[in-house]
Amino acid sequence: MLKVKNLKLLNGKVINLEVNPGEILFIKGANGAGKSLFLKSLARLIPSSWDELSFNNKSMTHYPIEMWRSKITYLPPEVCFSDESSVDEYLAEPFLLKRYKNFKTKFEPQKNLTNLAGTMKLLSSGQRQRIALLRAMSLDSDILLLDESFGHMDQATREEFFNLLAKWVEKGKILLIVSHFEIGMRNLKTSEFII
Amino acid sequence: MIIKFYSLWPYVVGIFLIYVFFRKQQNKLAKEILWASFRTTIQLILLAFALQEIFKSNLLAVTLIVSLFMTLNSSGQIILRSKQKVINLFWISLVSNVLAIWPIAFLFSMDIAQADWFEPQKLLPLMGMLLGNTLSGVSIGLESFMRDFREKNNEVLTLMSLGGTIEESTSKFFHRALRAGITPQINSMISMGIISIPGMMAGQLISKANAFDASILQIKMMLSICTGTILSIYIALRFVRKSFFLSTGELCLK
Repeated sequence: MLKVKNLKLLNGKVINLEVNPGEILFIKGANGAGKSLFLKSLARLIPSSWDELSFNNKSMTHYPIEMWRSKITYLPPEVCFSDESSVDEYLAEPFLLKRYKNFKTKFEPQKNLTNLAGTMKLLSSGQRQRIALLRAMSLDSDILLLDESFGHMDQATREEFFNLLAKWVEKGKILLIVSHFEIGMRNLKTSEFII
Repeated sequence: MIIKFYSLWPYVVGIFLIYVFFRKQQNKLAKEILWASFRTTIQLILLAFALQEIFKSNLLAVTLIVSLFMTLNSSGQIILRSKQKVINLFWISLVSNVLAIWPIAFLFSMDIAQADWFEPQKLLPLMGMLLGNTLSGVSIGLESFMRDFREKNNEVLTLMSLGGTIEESTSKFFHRALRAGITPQINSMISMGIISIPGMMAGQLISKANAFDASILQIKMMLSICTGTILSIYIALRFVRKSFFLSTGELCLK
């Protein structure tokens, strides 16, 4: 279970929530309310303070910060990549960071989605989001924080990803989503949190 | 001693002609050229008066105080040139200059002046040349790093959220800044002797020094400047990078 008690964001808002494995939480709120701040704070990418921040009854302080971040993966709205990197290089980046070698098999099931030639720079925004989301899902994190990750995708791709994400959550993972799209997740427990 | 200020007049006339020529087309530029020429003339004359007094003393303390004054000015220049505001940038540039440039200046002076290495007449010109030549490299390197951080911090956040350490997540910006800072120096070293003869060597040749001696001294100076620049940028970048993160590892752009 992910437990957040009195997480104080940089904009002064205080967040309290609990999410169980296998659940999806939609974060809602007006523009500038602090949705992205919340996700970044949860992944401990930016400063915040809290009374309790724990996962599976283990306080965040038990984990070195890099390990906490590899449990909780945050995907920013803009897809960031090195100017000349190819799709394959982009997919490989996190695994090379962690020095994993046999990562290519991870993308085999979604070959139809990753099978794009050329450099990331030449892809459309929707294609980039597709690749970025697949890369985030392929990591062995327990919690995925998606920040407007579907904005540029077409309807069909979006539906395909909702199904993939549903399967991913069924493995006992937790998904927090900031999105302006109404997302229908089959047979899964979803809830809403308003900032 | 007779000071031959009058010998400057052809040069002053040359600059004044440039001013007159460009005044109609680019008044602002012409004024800036005139102002810069005036400043350089006055500053160098004042420097000569100051140095004359300083050179009368052979104390290491005097040399160090003047070196510190020069280093403070160099750090001040880095702040003035910087468009991005970073807390402690003055101290960061000061420390990086002292750690990178001072030991090189000391070693260089020991090499060419042996036992008299601490004398102001030996050490200060070397310190001045090293500080002056590394200044723009450090400035360019820091500017590149800070601009990348302000404008593209999502790239860093992405790598951090993939489990990257601070070093791993910032290595692209770090190396780009190092390269940006040292590239003018590399270009200058490549063109050395083919396109340009630097001021120090030209001065020696004009005063009829042996060409080999002049060129060996110039080689030492170029290699020292290169080492000083890269070290100074590296140290400054490490401090600036540290200032962007909390001790607990969160990105904290102030």
